[in-house]
Parts: sequence; structure tokens; C-alpha cells
Amino acid sequence: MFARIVNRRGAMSARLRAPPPTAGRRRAECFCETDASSMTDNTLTVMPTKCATCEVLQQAPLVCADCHSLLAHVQGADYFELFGLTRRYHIDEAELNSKYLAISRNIHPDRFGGAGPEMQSFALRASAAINQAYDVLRDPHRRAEYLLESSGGKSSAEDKRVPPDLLGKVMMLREEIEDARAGGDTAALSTMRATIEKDRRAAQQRISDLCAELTANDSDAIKGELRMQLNAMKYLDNLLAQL
Amino acid sequence: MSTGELILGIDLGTTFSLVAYADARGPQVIRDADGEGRVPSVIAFAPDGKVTIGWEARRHAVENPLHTIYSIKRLMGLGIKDLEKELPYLAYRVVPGQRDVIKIDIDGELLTPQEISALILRELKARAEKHFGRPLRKAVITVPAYFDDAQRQATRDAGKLAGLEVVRIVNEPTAAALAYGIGLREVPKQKLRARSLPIGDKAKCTSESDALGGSQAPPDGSIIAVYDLGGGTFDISILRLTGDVFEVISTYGDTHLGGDDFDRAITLLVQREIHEQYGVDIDSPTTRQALRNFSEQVKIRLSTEASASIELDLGDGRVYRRTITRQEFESLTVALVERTINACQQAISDAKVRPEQIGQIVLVGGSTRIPLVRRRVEEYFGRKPYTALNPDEVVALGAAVQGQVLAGERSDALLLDVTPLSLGIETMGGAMGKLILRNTRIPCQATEMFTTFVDGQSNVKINVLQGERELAADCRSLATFDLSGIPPMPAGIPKIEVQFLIDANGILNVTAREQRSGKEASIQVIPSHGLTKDEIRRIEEESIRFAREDMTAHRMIDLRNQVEFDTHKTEQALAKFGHMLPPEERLSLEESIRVLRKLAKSTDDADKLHRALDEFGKMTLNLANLAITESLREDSAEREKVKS
Repeated sequence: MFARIVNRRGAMSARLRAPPPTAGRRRAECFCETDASSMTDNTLTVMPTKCATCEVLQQAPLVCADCHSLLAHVQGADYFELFGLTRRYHIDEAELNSKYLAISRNIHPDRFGGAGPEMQSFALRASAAINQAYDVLRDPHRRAEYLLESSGGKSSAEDKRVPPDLLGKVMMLREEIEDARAGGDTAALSTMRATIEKDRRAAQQRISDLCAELTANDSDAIKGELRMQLNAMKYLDNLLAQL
Repeated sequence: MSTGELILGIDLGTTFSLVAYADARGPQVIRDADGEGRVPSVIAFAPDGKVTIGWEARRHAVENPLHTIYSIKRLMGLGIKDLEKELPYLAYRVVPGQRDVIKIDIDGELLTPQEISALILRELKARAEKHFGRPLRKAVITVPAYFDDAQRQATRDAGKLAGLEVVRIVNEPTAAALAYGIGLREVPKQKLRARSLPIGDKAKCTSESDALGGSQAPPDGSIIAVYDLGGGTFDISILRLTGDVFEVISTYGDTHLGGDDFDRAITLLVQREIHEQYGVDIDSPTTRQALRNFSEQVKIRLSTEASASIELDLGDGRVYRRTITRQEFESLTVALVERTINACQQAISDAKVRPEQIGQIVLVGGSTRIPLVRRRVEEYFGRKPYTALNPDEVVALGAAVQGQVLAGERSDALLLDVTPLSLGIETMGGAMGKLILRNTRIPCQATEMFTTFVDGQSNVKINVLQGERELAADCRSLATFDLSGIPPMPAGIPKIEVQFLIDANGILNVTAREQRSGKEASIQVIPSHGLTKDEIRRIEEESIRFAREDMTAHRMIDLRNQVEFDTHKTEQALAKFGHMLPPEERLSLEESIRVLRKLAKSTDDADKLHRALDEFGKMTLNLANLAITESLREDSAEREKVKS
């Protein structure tokens, strides 16, 4: 292989990359017009909406059939705004899912079977962007990562720090797991699982609090702390996977 | 947004293929005159160049083992190394082609699995065109959910070679779920109609008594599992049904696990025992093919009966005889069924649901008729599976419904599917760097940055992989993407952004851009197991040429037969009534017969022969009139005689 890969931050790197600040925080004009009416309705009868750029009436709120200008917006948009959700860590997963389905009904490539190749390609890309946003938002860890990185925080590859006592603890636990497994001590294993899960819940709470603080005050200190907690969470998840 | 153009639904199966369409009355399988919807996926190449497809080819498989191709689906998109375990069981010859492509050797003529599948698709297309009496060119083709990119591309290429525009590749279990869901929704209407969904297979399925009448559309958010065990492949998909949306949550499978493997278990038993009793190995292509058919029949019989007796005449007074019980068959195949159950476990764990949350288990594929399969599925999921659908037809029906959706004819169904395998690239040191994880919803995308390694380097090669293993060598290489046209810069300076996009067919599209120059980098795709664009074009051109040659050959045969018939008739008439013609006319007719026969033997020019035949027809006009008049006279004379 001749390729060298720069900027590899593990498998998720590409998907977690923050959109450019300007595009990222832009309001989702066309989409927002349909927000109140159609998006809250699970059974969704598609509301004709206007494209904010060219004013042409259209059926799919995320892709303007006429000028395509919304697509650029979808590609760079803030994930929360795409779904008409408030930008915060706590989300209603059922609401996210029903909004995701409503949007998919409008922009999935299957809806453009008879359209020209250009339109089909737009539907394809818009769908991919929506799916990507949905995958990030419905996973609590990736949601927090997204909140951090899209506020200008560092990625896990750029900042690998963890809370000071964590590494020692993880190493100890790892040895204990191996010993317990070698000795076939299932009771000890389940106690350890309970301990790690407790730590994990604490980390989750801390992440949730930090995300809330981040919305009010995006200081470097809070970003740094959130980064550390998210890194810690990865270690705990790896331990749980080992169990 | 209706296109007004009919989109066919095609189930291109390992053992059987079907074509269906959907209209306002619902989806329907297109059947032959006997009401049979299935076309065996078997192709026979006769020594005289004649190609037969379907039942006829299947019937003559034993007499013609080296020229009868079956189970071609199991070879699609694979290389010779992938097929080490498969090849010893095939009666026909498989040879390595360029790169890691395989070819089927039919007396020296080499055909790719794509070209052979195209012949089956052509047959299905012709069946549909005959049904509608007009040309049709668009189709949705189904593939196993666990098919990788190369296998999907190979299927799409086969469609293209068959003259079809493949509007969408749909996963078989997803298509089945669509047919199942639509069927439930349309149950009230169903009672008024005779032949639309869901079609229960009364003959072969013991369906729950209230399966049709008692069922109602599943509640919103209900989770179903589709267990699809076909002739050659196995899939398990977990879906959530929310109103009109069919959302696949996870899928798992094995593209080399199906009815063929159950047949093989019997074949192996018989071969072993014959070897033990008579010390002979029966492994010639003919016996391989015969054993295959035989084992399949035994398997089918054991689905309804407790035992089956086997008798094989080995010649020289040696007869292999035994009775095989269902229990024995089950102990031979239990490991295969357990593999499917393990796959179910994986899919359920990936879906993050518990087995008891699954509201319905839908059985699809002919092999789900095997009692052991039904029993184990029921045990594992803790409930009776839904068997009211015809497991052979439901996939084609679902594909037809999806065709209707894509034609813009219906908007009350939307399939949201996932990619079955993780996608990544080979990183430095031969590791697999995952970019898109398995069970990610499609369409999906990932972006990755690349740069150069040496000063002035103008191209970068990327090896794209699919699989779950950590080392590149353990994953399947889909293709090498060669990015070229990178402006000369010092090493590490160019920033090439490569976007990987998996479309709604589950097929990868790659685009690249050098960011500093803004130049779109050109990509040459060298598929590891598939055909390049040029190769497809060449095959297409050849097939058009062959089609013309085939047509000419056909016409020549017809014309020669006509010559034979006409000259023979003329000779008969001459013998009888020749004396009534002027002698010079008689002589010239005799001469014409000789000339025409000689021409029919010597020429390959159909037009010339056609003209000569026309000419000959005009010359015989007098004789023909005479013959008719004379026979009428004889006839009435005859009648007069009877009267008197």
C-alpha cells in the first residue's frame, strides 16, 4: 500500500468530524418550515413546503427538487437541527426515531425512483447524511462526542487524557478479571461487572452534567473535562466487553 | 411520481428463480401454462450450441453433467480460493480466470458466473414479456442479505448482461418482510380476491389454522424476524415495522449454507457406505449429478415421511440398498441447523433485542420445510413460526411490491435496510481500518483523508475491504482503488479526501478529491472478484453479436427444414402426376430439386436460400395446381364408388 493515512482517529473519526462552524450552526430553513406541522405527526402526510432558497413548492423538506440548494445544507447541518431537536445531551429517543422515519419517508432514494439521475444522486447523499446524523444522535456516547467536537473540542486521538486514578484501576480490574476467569470464579466476575457498571453510570451522569454545562458555557476547561470523561467511558466499555 | 413503467420483481435463487409483478390487485408471480412459477436455475449447453434453461435442463442434468450448470449463485462474486470447499461437489468444471475471477469451462468455452446468471434472467424476462406481450426492461433483483459488495455487483452485472436495467438490489429477507407486512395489511381485501398476497402453500406447509384469517396488521413498533433458508444461502434479519416503514435493525447470515448442504449430507453418507461395502468410489461427474438429484429427493421425502428407502444399482449385480430414517437425516444435518441458530443469536444480539421481544418469526425459503429446521427455530424463539406464506414465492412477491414503490405506483411502504458487513481499508501494516460498521443503515457514508508517501507521487492505491476480522488478509478485498492525477507535491502534503458511499443497493461508490488543488482525483476501480466496466461492455457486445449469429443459425435450420419438406412433397407429386406435365417442365423441376438441395447443404447465406426457396415455390405452382385438382377428382370418384 502506498497510502498513508493522516488524521486516523479510529473507525469513527470520519463520522464524528465536526462540520465547519459556519455551516454547522446555520439554521435549517426549509426543514424548519415543516418542523411544527409534519414532524410531530407520526403518520405524516407530507406537507408541501417551500424551499427557502428558490421558493419552489416541494414535497421533500430536505431536498429541494428544483434547486437542490438544501442538500448542501443537509451535508453540513447541525445534527440536532436536522431533526428539529434542541441541541442537548438528553433526547427523547422515541421522538428522534419518529422524526427520523418521517424524514426518511421524504428523502429516501426509493422515493425518487422515477426522478432523473441528478435528483437520485441528491436523494442518496441526503439520505446518507441523515442516516449518519441519526446513528450519532441515538448512541449516547457518540452523541456526547458530537456535542463536544462540534463545539470545537478535541477528538479522542488529539487528547488522550483520562482521569488520574483511572488507568491504575483499569489495570487492576483487568488482572482480577483474568484471575477470576482462570479460577472459574463466576461470583467474583459478576461482582466486578456490577462495580464497573456502577462506575459507568457515574461517568455517564458526569458526561450528562458536563454536556449541560457545555451548552451554557463552552470553556476549554469544561471541554477538557468532558474529553477525559468520554475517554474514561471507552476504557470502562472495553472492560465490560471483556467480561 | 409515477413513471408508468412496469418494474418486475425477480428472485434469482440458487435452485429456483421466479419473476413477479404487482398492480392494483397486488403482487403476483408469473406462471407457465401449468401454473408453475418456479424456473429451475439450471442451464444446459448442448454440443450443438443449443442452450436450454429451467425444467428441461434440470431433467437432462444426469445425461449431460459437464454441460449442465446449477447452483451458479453460490459462485457469484467469488474467487477460486473462496470456493475450495465447494468445487469438489460440482459436476461441471470451474477454472481460474483473470485476477480472482472464476470461469465455468464448457468444452473450452469459458463463461463467468455473471454470464450464466444472465441466461436465467433472460429466461425470466422472456417469460414476463410473453405474459404482457410487450418488451420489459426494468427489474428489482433480490440477493441474500449477507451478500457482500462483490456478490451484489456480480448480480447487478448479470442483470445488465441480460438486457435489464436493475433499478434496485433488494435483500431477500427484507423483500419477504415487505410481502408479509403488505399481505397482513391487505387481508380484508384478500378475501375478495383470489390470487394476490398472501398465498398460503397449502400443499406443503402445515400452516397455523388462523394464520390468514386471524392475523391483523402488526402493532406499530413490533419486531419480526425473517428466517430465510434457501437452496444455497441463509439469512436472518430482524426488522421493526412502524406503520409503512420496514426498518431492518440487524442482519446476519451465511452465503454458503442452504438446501444444497442438506443434500450433500446424504450424498456423503451414500458415497461413504458404498465405498465401505464395495470398495468403489462413485465420483464421476455423472454420478455426482445423479447423487445430487437422488439426495434431494430423499431429503424432500423425509420432510413428510418418517423414512425413505434408497436403492442404487451400481452395475455388475451390485446393488446398494438401505433405509434412511428422518432421525438419521436429522443427526446428519443438525450441525447445519445449529449454524443457522448461532446466526440468529448473533443477529438478535446485534439488534439489541431479546428473543421474547420478537413478535413474529417469518419462515422463507424452500429449506424451511425441513421439520428439524422448524422445530429448532420454534425452540430457539420460544414460539411457533409463521408459515402461511409460500416460502418459494414470497421473496419474488416482495420484490414486485418494491418495484411498484420504485415506479412511484405506491407510497405506503418504505424499506430501510442495513449493510451486512463492515467496510474498511487496508492501513499501513496490513490492518483493517473500519470506516463503516456492519448493520449501519444504508445509504451511508464515510470520509477518509489520504496523502502521498514519496515526493511527487501522483497516485495512491487504496485496498478496500469488507469483513469483521482485524487483519486485512482475513477480510475480503473488494477492489483496489487507484487514485491518480494528484498534482506533484512533496510527500505528505497532498490531502486527498476519499468518500465511501454505500447506496440503497448495498453497493459501494467511491469518490475522491485532492483538497489543496480542489481537483477531482480520478479513480480506477480494479474489482478483486468482479468484472471491470470494460469487461462488461465487451461481454455485452459479444452477446449482441452472438444473438445475431444465434438468430441466423436458427433461421438457417428452419429454412433447411423447409427445403427438405418442399422438395420431398414435390418429388411425391411428380411421381404421381408428373406424366401429366410437359416433359421439359418435368425435367426442369427435377433439376431444380437437385439444385435447391445442393444449395441448402452448401450455403450459410439465409437470404440466398430464402430467395431460392421462393423461386422453387413459383416453379412448382403448375404441379401443385394439377395435384390438387387430381386429388379432388380422385376423392369425388372415391365417394361415387362408395355411394354405388
